[in-house]
Amino acid sequence: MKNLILPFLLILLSVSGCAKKSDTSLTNEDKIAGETEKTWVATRETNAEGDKDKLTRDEKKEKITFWRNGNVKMGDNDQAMSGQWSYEGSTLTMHFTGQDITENFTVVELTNDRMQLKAGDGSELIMKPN
Amino acid sequence: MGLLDFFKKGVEKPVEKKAEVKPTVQIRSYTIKSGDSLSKLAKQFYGDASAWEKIFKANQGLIKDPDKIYPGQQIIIP
Repeated sequence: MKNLILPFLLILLSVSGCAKKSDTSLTNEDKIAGETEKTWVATRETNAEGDKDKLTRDEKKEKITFWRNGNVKMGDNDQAMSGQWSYEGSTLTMHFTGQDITENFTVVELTNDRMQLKAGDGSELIMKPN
Repeated sequence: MGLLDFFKKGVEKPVEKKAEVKPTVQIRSYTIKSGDSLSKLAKQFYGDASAWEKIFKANQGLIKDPDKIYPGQQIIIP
């Protein structure tokens, strides 16, 4: 009987692992904005030298929401900024309303639950879904 | 620094403005035939004989007198 339990558990584990939608079946847009929208918060930030910048309690509450239709909004109330986002190659482009420039970030890593971006000055931000 | 400040530090590029599409003006040329008059051409092209002045003004370098046009003249129908 004992000889049967172990193979049975292994099969059960492998089947349950397949049930979860794998990252490889998701497009980059799926990972960034989910099916309709997805909100991200900062978990870690490093400066241009690669040193960790400690996030304050307030900074950890800051959110950015990507909508699947290309809209983006970050911040709340009077600090809120909204605009459009797009992803091409390994670049995340943001165009905030009223600005005549776009902000472009290199996407260092992108999974369904982790996004690591690099800014123009070399600093990096790691985010997780809220 | 936080998320809000980070997203202001991207590599800045100017927004690509869509090229302005100018409306095209349709200009036709027409060679005067025997029996033509500006009012007849206005009626033919605009459906309004009284619009002959429009043709006359567009061809003022070529037509001195609106009552005198000659077969073979090439005019502009604006």
